Amino acid sequence: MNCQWQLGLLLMRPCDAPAAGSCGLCGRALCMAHSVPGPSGMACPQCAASHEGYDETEDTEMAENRDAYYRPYGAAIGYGQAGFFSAMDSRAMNRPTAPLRPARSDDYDAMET
Amino acid sequence: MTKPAVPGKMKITDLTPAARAAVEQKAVTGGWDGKSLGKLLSELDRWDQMAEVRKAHAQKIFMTGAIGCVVGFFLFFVVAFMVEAPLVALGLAAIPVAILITGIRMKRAARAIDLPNELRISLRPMIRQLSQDLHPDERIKVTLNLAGIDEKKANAAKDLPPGRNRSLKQNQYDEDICLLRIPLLDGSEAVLHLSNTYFKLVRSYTTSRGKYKSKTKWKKLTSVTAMLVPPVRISWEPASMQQHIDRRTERLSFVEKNGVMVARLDRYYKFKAANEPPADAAPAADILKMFVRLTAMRPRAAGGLQ
Repeated sequence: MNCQWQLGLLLMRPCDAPAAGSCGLCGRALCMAHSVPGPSGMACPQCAASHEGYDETEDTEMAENRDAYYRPYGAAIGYGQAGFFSAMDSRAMNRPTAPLRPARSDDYDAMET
Repeated sequence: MTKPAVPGKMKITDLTPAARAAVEQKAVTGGWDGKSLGKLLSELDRWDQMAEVRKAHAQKIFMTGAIGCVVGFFLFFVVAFMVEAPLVALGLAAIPVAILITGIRMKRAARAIDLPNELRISLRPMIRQLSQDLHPDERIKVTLNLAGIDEKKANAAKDLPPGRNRSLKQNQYDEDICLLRIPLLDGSEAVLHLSNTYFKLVRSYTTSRGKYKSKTKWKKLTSVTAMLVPPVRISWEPASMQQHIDRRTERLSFVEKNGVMVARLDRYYKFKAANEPPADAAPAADILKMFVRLTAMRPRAAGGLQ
């Protein structure tokens, strides 16, 4: 099995390197380069970015930003199309299995006036 | 090898030759691979942070000098005529004046080495986020102007109808910040053009007590143009993205260039400040969102969102 992590921002494509394990939160296969260690074992950068206790890497930062860029354009759930979030991404983003990280002061707040 | 320096104490010799040349020439041009450009921008970012620290420090000294001058003026009279110690009085007046002059000189020096904030706010985070989409064998064509505006050289100056004021003067400054041509993995090219127009409005008026005063206001209009040039002719499908275009600040258009249809999204910003030109710039996240929307308008077969 190959790594199912999606690289890129504008041109998303699977990493496809040989998988060395899987994400402890969403279950997607991951290569060593895209595994982030944390309290639930290894996690993909997307899950690591949205859950507490994981290392912050360049990939987790980029994954967090990518989610923010795509979410307003309806690419978050059920898409699974080429170049966009896979079902694994949607699951990781929408069904958290561990506590979400606490909100930061600069987070977007829709109710803010 | 360059060593990392404390922002306020950084010298030009701490920079790599490429960054040093960019700071000295106040420009970056030519073809750059993603990694080198990222490194250069990160160095220039540190340099700009140092300039900001120095500007803030110079401002503090300037304010200390200004307050000291006012206090020193009164003390001068008190000490010179009441205590009758003219030399001490002269010293009390001269020291704050010297501090004030030092503050002015430091402010000028800090302003001379300052770089446009677009570098830090718009460009560097954008290039960093696009790093995985860059074509490995192609170079990013960069034309970056770091000179900033020269307040003495206005592109247009005019006297506006003064109304209740004694005079109302408006100076206009145009600044082309950058043109980046970013080759992407699929052969398409992302083009970014950033430009600013500054308006300096100086209002002179007389108060009810008969004092003559003047106030300065700055307005900065930023125009961001993001274009996506596909490698082959495609028919764009903008229907899905139309609802995500903010018609107050954005304009979507399609132009034909070299036989291919290019998608273009323009976005405008307005920033205001008093006394100094506004330090704000178009956020990198907004620019990336523009490119995300442009890529999403490609037909589904070309990776678009349909």
